Amino acid sequence: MSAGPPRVALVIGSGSVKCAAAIGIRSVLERAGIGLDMLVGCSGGAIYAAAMATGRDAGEIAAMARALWTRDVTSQRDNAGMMRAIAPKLMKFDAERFGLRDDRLIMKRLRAAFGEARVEDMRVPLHLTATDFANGELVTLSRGPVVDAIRASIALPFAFAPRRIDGRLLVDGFLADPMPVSVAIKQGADVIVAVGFESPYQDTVRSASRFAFQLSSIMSNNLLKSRLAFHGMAHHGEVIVVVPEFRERVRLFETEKLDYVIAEGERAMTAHLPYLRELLGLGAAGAPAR
Amino acid sequence: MSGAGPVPRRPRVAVVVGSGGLKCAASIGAIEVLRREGVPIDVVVGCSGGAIFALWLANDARRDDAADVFARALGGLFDAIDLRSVARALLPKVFGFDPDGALLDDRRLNAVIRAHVGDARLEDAPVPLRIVATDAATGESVVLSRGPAFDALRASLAIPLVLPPWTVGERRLVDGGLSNPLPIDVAIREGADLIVAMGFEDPIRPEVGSLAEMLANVTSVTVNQLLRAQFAFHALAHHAEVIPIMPEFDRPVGLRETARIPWLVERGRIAAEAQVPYLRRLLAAADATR
Repeated sequence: MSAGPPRVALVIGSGSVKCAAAIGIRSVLERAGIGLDMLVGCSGGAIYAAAMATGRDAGEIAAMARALWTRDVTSQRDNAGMMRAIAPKLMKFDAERFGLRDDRLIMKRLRAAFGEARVEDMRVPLHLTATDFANGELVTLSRGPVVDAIRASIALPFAFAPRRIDGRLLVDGFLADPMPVSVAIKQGADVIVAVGFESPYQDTVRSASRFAFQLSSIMSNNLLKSRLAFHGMAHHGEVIVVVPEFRERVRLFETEKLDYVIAEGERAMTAHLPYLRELLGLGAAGAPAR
Repeated sequence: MSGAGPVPRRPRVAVVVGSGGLKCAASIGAIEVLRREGVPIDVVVGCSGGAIFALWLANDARRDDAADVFARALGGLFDAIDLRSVARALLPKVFGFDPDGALLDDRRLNAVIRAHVGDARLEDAPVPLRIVATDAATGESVVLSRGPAFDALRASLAIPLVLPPWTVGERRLVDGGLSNPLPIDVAIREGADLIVAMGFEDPIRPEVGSLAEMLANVTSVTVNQLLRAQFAFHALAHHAEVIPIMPEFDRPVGLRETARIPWLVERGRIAAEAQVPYLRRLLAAADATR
């Protein structure tokens, strides 16, 4: 560790509504007097990381998530996209513009939530991740408009069109790394709290989209596990992985379950708190040290 | 000096041939180099396209061109795309979606595999052989070490959307590359000290002209990341010497491009030659301690 107080990072992995567990995690850290020096977000986690970086409190972030993440953001069909999928010869297939869902509503809501804010001006240093569609590399977005960076980070292939930033065509960060602990390490974090989620498996596979979902879950869950194994081995003590357990199923847009998700995040973080305090040299309990 | 303590044994050598469709034919060139160097092989592990060549190697490559011929035959089959299933995938409401459906009618493929392996059983191979597939329901990597070679090969090769899954015992299995594209872990569990790991990253298509190519790119991105993450972990975690043989390809190699097999074999040979000095040093060091 470097001289001075250890720098603490919170990494929020992909997982749509489940990422709201990070709200509960931050509340537990705040009550323990542990501040965050860095926020890293991927895909659904990018929204919460950005909201935290602006300095919003737990209640404000939950309200924002409820307003932002509703079913109608993906029920807006992009008919041109559908036609491009079915008849690529007729309507020239263009990967840059291809998405089966219209992104205007989600963009409008992201702008309402973040306005013209820039990633580099956040109160807490913020890094959002996406995947370079040309070479598959993990891309860290540490500058530029927050809205664009979030849009790139959540660009789930087939659902939303990729986003071009600084010449690179970017898609959802979860393809390259569902829980980008490596970004926090490279940015100099000493202690990393990382929250991640395995993608759910389908009970029945009755449509092509569910099939694609199952396929992507298989690959990304294996990727999540391998990365965890690597970071656990290479950086052992300093990475605390918080995996909330959801006994209730939380679907893609179930913001009605937000309170439950946040509570599970709190519970999972509380279980890890003694170890985190020990790492930070805060002793077993008592007064905040920072 | 001698007489005290256990007699040092020679290192246990494993050859792992990872997934990569037709690119796995590069292993033919690499295997030629291993043979020329007189590398003893104690266990062989294969995954997806690599399973074809692992099977060939474990059977002592009796017919020198068997794997080559087999790969050519397989390549020709991928021309026979089942058009009904294309319609089924696009219009699930009209045709009904069948999760076991695929773009390819697998009857001819099954006949080709059957003609190649006959009634051979995995456990009867002269060199111990392990084939890797993926459990379609849980996403977990599955290692097959017993039973008909036909079942193992067919399951390991079940590329999603292209080929239907294959049931072995109670489990529906798909392509091993989805969970474990370069199964070094299997070689480690088999007690290998020296692991020759033949891995094949999928080049990302620079131009995406259809939905199918986009899906292929999305899959390649995550599988490449999975390969690297697992490789990084095993290189860090285990004491076994891992000798990577990972030929680079400047552009994607389609399943039908069997005319490129000689070029692929040459790529594999070049990649293997680059590791020969290291390989000789390791084997010489092992000889010196015996």
